[in-house]
Amino acid sequence: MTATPRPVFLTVWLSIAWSLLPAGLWAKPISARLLLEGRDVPEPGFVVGVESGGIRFSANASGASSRLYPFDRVKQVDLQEPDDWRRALELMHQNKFDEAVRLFDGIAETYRDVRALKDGYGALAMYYAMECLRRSGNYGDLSNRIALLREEYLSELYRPQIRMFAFWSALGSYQTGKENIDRLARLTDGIEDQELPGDQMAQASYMAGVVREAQGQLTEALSAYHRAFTLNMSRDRPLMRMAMEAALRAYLKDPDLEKNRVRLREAHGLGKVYQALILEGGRPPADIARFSEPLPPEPAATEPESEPESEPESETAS
Amino acid sequence: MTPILLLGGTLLRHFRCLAAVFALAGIPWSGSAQDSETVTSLFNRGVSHMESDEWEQAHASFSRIVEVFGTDDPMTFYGPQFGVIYYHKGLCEMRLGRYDEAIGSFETCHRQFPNRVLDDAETPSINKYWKVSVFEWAAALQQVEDYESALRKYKEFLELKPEPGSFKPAAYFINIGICYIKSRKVVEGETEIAKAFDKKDEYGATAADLWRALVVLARGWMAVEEGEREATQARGVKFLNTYRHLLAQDHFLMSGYTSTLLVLGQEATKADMSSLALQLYSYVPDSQRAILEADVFHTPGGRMAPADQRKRDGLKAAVDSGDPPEINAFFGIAQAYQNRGDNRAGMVIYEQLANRYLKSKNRPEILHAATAMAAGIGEMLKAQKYGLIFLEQYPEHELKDEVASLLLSSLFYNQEYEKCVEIAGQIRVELTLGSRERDLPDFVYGGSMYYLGKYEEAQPELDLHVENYEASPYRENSTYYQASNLVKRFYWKEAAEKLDAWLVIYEPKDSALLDVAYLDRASCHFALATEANGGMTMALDLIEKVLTKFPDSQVLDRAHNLAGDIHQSEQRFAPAEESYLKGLETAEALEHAEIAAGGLSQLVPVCLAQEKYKEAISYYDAFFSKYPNSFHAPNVAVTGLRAFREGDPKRLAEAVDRVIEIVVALGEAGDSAGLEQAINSFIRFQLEDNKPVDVIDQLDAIQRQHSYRTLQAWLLVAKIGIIEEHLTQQGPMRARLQVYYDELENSFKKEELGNYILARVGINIAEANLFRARPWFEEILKRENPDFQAHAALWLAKMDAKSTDPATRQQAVEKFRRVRDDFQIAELAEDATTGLARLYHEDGKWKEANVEWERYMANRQWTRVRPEAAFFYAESFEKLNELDNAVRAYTAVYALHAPVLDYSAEAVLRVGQIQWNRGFQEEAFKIVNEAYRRMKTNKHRLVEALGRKVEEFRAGLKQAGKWKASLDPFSGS
Repeated sequence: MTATPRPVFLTVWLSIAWSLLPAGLWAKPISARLLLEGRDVPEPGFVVGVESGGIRFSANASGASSRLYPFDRVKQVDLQEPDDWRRALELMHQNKFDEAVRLFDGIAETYRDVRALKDGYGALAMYYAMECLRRSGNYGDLSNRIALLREEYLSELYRPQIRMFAFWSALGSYQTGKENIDRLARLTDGIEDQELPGDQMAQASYMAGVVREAQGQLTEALSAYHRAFTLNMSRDRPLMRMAMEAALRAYLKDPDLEKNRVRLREAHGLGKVYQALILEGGRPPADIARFSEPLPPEPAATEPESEPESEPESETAS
Repeated sequence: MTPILLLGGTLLRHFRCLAAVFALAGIPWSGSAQDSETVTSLFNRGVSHMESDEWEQAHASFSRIVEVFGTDDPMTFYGPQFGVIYYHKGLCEMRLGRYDEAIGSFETCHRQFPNRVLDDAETPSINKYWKVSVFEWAAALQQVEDYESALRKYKEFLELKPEPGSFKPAAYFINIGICYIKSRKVVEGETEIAKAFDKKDEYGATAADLWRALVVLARGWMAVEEGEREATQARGVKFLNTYRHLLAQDHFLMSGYTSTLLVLGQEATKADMSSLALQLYSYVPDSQRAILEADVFHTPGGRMAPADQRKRDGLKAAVDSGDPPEINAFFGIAQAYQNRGDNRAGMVIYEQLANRYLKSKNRPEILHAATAMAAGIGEMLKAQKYGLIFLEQYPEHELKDEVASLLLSSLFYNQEYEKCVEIAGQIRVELTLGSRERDLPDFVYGGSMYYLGKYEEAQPELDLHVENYEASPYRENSTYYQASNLVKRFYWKEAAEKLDAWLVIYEPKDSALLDVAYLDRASCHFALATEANGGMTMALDLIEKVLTKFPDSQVLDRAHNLAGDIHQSEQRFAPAEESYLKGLETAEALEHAEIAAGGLSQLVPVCLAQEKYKEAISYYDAFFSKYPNSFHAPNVAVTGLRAFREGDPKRLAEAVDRVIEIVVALGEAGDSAGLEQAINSFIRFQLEDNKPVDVIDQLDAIQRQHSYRTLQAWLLVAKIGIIEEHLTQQGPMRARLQVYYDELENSFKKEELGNYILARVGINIAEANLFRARPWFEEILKRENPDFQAHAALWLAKMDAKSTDPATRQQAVEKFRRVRDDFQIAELAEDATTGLARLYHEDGKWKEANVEWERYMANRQWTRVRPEAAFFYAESFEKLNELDNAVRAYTAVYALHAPVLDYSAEAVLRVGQIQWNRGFQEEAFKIVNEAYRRMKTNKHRLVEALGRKVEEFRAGLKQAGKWKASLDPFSGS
């Protein structure tokens, strides 16, 4: 999304239980504008912190002489956009995840004390840092942060993805051998039937593909991987790459691939799209390179593709 | 089409300050035709109209200035600043689409009002737009599609070194890029536009600017010549990947371009650029997310801008209606993947649409596509799911037949034969027999009946398909099912013919059904085998083909078992054992339980035949450990008795108990076929060691303990059998026999009785009154169980043969033929042939009668009606006017069956008459005279007739003067 300055509305934030607020010493005050009930012009100053009783606000950058404004008196809070905010978002969108995480972490620390302000920079920076870790495949670090980001810090727009972080964490644990496939299997069980937004359905489908493949259900795995790179319109390129490569490698596991013309055509079709969109015409990894080649010619005599090939076992000539 | 272009962008905000410039300059703006019209007032009015988007009025004001004040050397009078009037006039003309006029205005502004160095004394007069008017001039040329000139002007503008801030660089690069693209220089255009993307913020490019540039560029990519298409598509893909972060992040903003993206995606697909289409569709936003983002990111101060609110409301309405615009993108993505050959992508997309967009007006098409895609990649369960939903929700839709066909394919593939019968049955009613549309339903209907084991119902359906759909794509299967179904119905001969015909066509094509066809043909060979035709060897050859050529076949186990059957019937027990063991092993590996049970069950008798009692007991135990509920259990239980008696007598009682237990269980289950097998075998075994009366007592004991109807009936039949075979000499037993028969006839419904009992009772009745027995035999023929069907068919044929109705007599012919040709039961084949020959004979079909009588005569085992057959065989020759053959055959009757006077005397009469008629009168006399002399001691009407014939011939000879005493050597005797 574009990096527009984002006002944070107290009416939304008031729904947060005060127990979620961070404790401890306040960090540096945050430049902000506070619009109070009954006034038309916001008051410039600095948010020193968010407490159970309201927002502590000061006219001084040092935070000196701050006053506590009860929530019911505050109509709106506009936090100043952090210096690195746009750059961090841009880096993330350019898939430069390590650098983006560093910047988001810095912002999250700066805005730590106002993290409880819904959709504020503190919570958003944590969210985006986790999203960068997810997209870069750093599931270990992602797992460590899951407990720190409360769904309540962010609006409904972000919550499906926050829930999805748990899936990625389970995938990471499985892939590093810390746990077996069971947790991921439980999470993805029946996922196709759930009402998820396209982006999250795509991610969950990728992991369902991993589960099905591990369980030896090759056809189901292939369908799941296909969902992963289509149901979000292929917006998430790192995910698209992972899913397409996983699908192509799954085709290789099919012992009957050479005999199954329909599936072979499917694999080569995908191989072509993969090469064109993900590799931009470049050379695919050697193990799946064959699928980017033209479909081999059909053997002279083939079996029918849609007819039953054997009789039921109920009859015996004996 | 209005070409797309971007205005300089920074210009309008200068209107006000320019007005001030004119005012401050103190230029005499008055002196107009009307007192109220001054340059200043007209200019201010014009600018005011521009700010209000009133371009016609604004243009009128500036034109009025030119008209009134611009005719008399305005450069001299007003200086360069008069060019500003033309510049503004040009802007209005641009807005009004009067581009040719705009070109003139901007040219005038630039050419006629250049800035110059002023003397100190001169009043300042500056044409602030002297440079930028070139930009607008270029833009106007671009609008009239004079791209070459526009490009020159844009370059000329840059050479003037315009001041930073006097124009928007993004507009410059995008416009120049567009001109290149429109001039078919797409690479150059792309390069210029990329500059605006690369320095978006520095060059002041808004998202709207970038989107508009992208649209033109995308169309440029698609318009390239075929030879450049692949490279251009690759560049397009790369461009869209590179700048995705600038355009495809804010779903709400992106939603403003959804329609354009959808059109572009379609155009790319049409241009055979599937990858580019996929890239374009990947920019289509999710409407639900766009709404959420509108609420979060586009609601400053809690209030959304009216235009954004309208857009959000529109999105919400589209989502609520069930048809958000991205549905069309999904259609496009599916199509793009399909174009590449990846139909699975299409399937998962349509599946998602079917599951998520339940209210879409395109739902029928979505469900249809989901069904088709799933069927196309062999995901038949899914095809079935969506096909069934379609038919349930849209039973009258125009796509229903197509969906039903897809559904049928998937159901058939999934072996959902009951559903196939139901749906195919409904669909085909409305379709014309033989039409392309009805091909699949008819095929599936018959095929499903076949797989459901409803062989009687399947046969006419399969015949119908084969007959009516010669060019059907399912013909290979259909013709195979037709033949195989005959095998299942034991029509061995017809099945063999059809399988042979099938193999001629499909063996060279390496049909996928070849293994099962070989096995079926082997079964026919086995069933029809005689010593003469070598059927056993041919069956084994085919089995060998199955075993060696189809190592992955699903019928390997059946092939091994059939080989075992053949060896066993040829009394080669060791190879039979080996085959059954392989059959068992293979069936267990394939998890074909019943076939495994069949193989294991045969190992018991095969070992018994080799006197390997311990092994037989071992197989017996294995059988009841693994397959106690198998169809073969009664047979194994009974067969095993002998093994225990010989190999482990201590367990014999246990084995007998098991038989009784099974018999009772079969009775409870009403399994007539099983009971028949079990009781008969059991009785045979018991009679070996016990007196018949004791066995009857044993059966009575069982009958008293268990009241199951089927069991009761079978016990009655068993007792009848024992009496008829062993106790007919005992008067009381004969009386009991009739009681048992009466009880069976009167106390049981025919449906309750097994085939054997029906046949037994039927024959008992038929021997007293042929026609009263008909229902008993008809009941047998209704059933799929083949037991005693041959007997029933024979008796019914005999009844039909008594009819005078030609159709009924034809049915008799068919039944006789079936009994003889298909059932291959020797004792019945003789009767069937006799019946057939008699029918033809009675109907005067002499050729056919002759063939059948000859068949009878050729089989020396058949003796039941041999004199009759010999006589009618001769008569058939006579009727065919083959007189030499007739004489020879009649003579044989007399020679071989002389005591049977009905035929032998008649035969002599016939021979005599034939020879007499042919002019061999002396010989004729000798034949009848000699025969008469041998037979005359018998008082028989034909012998008397023979005597009269002797005298008739004698008189004839005398009358003709041919008589000689030597002709009658017996005259003196």
